[in-house]
Amino acid sequence: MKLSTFIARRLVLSLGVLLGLSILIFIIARVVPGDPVRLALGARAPQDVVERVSAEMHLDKPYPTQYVIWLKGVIQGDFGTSLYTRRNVSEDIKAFLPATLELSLFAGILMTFFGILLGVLSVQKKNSWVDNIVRMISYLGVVTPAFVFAIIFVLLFGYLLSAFPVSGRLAEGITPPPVISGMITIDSLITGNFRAFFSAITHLFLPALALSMAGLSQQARIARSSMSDNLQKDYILAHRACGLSERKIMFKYLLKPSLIPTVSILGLDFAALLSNAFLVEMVFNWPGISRYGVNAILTKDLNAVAAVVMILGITFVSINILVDIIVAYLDPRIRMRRDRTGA
Amino acid sequence: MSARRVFVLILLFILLSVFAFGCGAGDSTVPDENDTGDLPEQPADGLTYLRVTFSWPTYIDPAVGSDYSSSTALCNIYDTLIYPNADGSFEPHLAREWEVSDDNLTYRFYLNEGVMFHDGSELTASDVKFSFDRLQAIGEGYAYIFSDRISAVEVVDDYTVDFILPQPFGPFLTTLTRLYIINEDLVMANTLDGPYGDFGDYGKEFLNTNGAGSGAYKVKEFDVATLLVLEKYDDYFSYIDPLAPDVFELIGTTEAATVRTGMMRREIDISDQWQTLEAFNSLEDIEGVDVARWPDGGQLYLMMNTQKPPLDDIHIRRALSWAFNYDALTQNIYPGTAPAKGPVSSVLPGWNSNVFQYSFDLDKAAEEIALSKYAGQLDQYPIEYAWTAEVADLEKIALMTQAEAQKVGLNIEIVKTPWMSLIDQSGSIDTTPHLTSIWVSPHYGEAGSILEAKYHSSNTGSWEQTEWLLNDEVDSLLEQAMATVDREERFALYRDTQELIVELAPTIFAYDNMERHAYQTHYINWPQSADPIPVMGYNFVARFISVDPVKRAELLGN
Repeated sequence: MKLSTFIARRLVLSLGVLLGLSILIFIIARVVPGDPVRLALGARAPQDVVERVSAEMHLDKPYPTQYVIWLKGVIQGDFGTSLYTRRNVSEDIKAFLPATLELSLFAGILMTFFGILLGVLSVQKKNSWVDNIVRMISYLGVVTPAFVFAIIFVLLFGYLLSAFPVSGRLAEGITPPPVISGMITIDSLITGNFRAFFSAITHLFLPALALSMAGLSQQARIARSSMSDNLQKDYILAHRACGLSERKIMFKYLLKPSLIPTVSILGLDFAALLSNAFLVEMVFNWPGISRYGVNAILTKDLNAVAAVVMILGITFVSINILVDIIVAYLDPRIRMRRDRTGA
Repeated sequence: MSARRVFVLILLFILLSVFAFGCGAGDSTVPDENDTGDLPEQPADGLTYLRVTFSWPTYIDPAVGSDYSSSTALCNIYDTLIYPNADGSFEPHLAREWEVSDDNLTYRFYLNEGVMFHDGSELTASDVKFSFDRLQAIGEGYAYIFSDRISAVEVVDDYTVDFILPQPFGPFLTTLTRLYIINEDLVMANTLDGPYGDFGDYGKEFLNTNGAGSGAYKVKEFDVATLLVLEKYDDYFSYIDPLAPDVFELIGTTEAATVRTGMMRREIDISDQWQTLEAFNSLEDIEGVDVARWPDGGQLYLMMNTQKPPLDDIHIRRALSWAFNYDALTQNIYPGTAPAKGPVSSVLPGWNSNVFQYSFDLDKAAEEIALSKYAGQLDQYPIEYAWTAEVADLEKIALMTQAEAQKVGLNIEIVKTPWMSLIDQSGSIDTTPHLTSIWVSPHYGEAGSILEAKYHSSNTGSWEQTEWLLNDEVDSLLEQAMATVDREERFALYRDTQELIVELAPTIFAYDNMERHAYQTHYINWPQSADPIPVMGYNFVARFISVDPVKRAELLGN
């Protein structure tokens, strides 16, 4: 099967998944108790105002009709009005998504770089104290929730050491760059505003590190395990017999095949960063989509909840497709198997 | 060079940059044009800042916002005709004076001339009418205060405006602290299509993120999810403290670690009130930080559904009132607070200081039960106590109440209930639990505000009144009070109402809520914290608060 056919098939299947997700989240959001309009307008808002706003949001119609109206809007890029921010949800997403993407991207870079680095280090120094420390860090990282790291980092690097800012995206008095991508680091680099760039990087570091810890630890463990397995294989023995240096064997012949399981998990970890970001965003007062989503859930902001879940769903599906393509590139056998089986 | 090496080098560059700027900045905290790290963060623009944390969201449209942070923002961005004082009285503000017709149905206000909106246009009577009409048309925020109370607002001339009332409304002048005057021309120039006929959307979308006021602060930046930045308006018509902050930031976080770190680094000047007791104790340990405390006019009420057996029997309600351990609550769960006295907080004008208050006495509780028609069969009438799942302390209160009540044979079943479910359940008598514990605060500074919301029959079905008292005598007294313009006469009726309500025992009046805020006493002078105004938001009017940058620098070691 050609790669393009494979991608097309995955895309069609993904549309089905997203449609199912949209129905599920639409139902879940509505069966949760509480009148969202009453909640938004307050206990003393007159009933006629509550009814008017409900009608404006089509909440007075049967569920199937509501769903059709909502889905039509979504297809046109209109997620409806948020009861939390009182503006179009699309505007909210435009405002908050780049902040979370920037945070997740930076966390993803930290996760990938340090995860693989620690894994390699662990294999190189197998069964030494270095290996033991890396393994301990990995276990701790996997079992500790991101928000715990967030609070520890705030107290350690913010409170005790005063080394990093702990709130927001830019220092006060620094003019943010014009919005191009919405990611301050990228926009400031594009516009040559290095002052904003470094301020943004320092603000990013702690939340990104906290967010990356679980994935980083998992990557380190998987990289170590995968490399350890491959280290025993005949082709490595053959390379050694040919007199290649350990360094060359490690980085040229061992690392690439060992990365296949790492990359497979990496994709899921990247997607998980988006959904795990909410508590980190809360702790660091980071104006991102995850924090927005949590507030939307707490205030039963139906349109915002549905939009955030759909955005996360789309991201998950997209990353999964991307991972499949990368794995196919890294492992020629997978491509060959597809050709043989037509799968 | 391979692509991989380039990638790794870029990564290393970024990481080294982070460490270089992150760690290097720790050596110096002096604001420096070239210091891009700014750690701890220092304003690089030479302005003075007042940064306060709040729970979110904040709405800056006067026809939408009514919660704490919204009220604070509105009090700073907009002006009102009158201004409230700490003793519950009020003084002229946009209106220099007013007069009332003999029948108490027309209030004529004479406006100060030369009051300028932030865009430089003059505030006139037409803006007052527009503000009122818009608030009523939209119907959200504080609109309920004026609904059915004011029939029309009429412009007499540019600086004179009449408010026409359908019937006398005693607290009318007090309620005007919630009518914020907006710039009609600016709003109408920014309307979109909407449901309000010729007024389109009445500028709702515009005012969602923009200001249109004349207040001492104007909107500089509004990130609807986390941050509102206000800057001082130099042409303000009234008093501004010479050391009032140039910039007032409302920050949307209540996260304890962030607040503590921010306070320690002097990046947060006043904390929100939602920190735990332990967190406040910890904040108080920071040099130069103290905790300001004042009663906020609200109370924690344990509301009893008076229509459901066995609480439809006044003796069971009284028994529960006697069986509640007030001292344990105020000493162990909320130290520093005092038990309430009646249904109105002691700081609200119109409070009855002589009203009877129950105390913890299990013998008297047992006596009341013996008088009840349910005596001897209470095991058949379990009392469902719903506590709000989002507030952990409320579970402690529920458990304490259950334990004490059990000693006199009252069978309480505790149910953890999400806030949204509780709102739903409050909609009808049948679904309302027997007991709910909820804080309720007044929306204007008079006893009538809380009494009407909590006990008038027209307000049943909301979470503020799960007692379902439905008592004609209470309704009648409240209606009389509301229609009485003379303040002393009205307050006398409030006092009578309070006595009647205590007699009926629909509620356990747990304690007067104490608002707490940690703040930087070394460089912040916050007069309202010493002499608080009993109207939500007004204690954060930043033009009266002074920030001393020199003293702040001292604390930072500069």
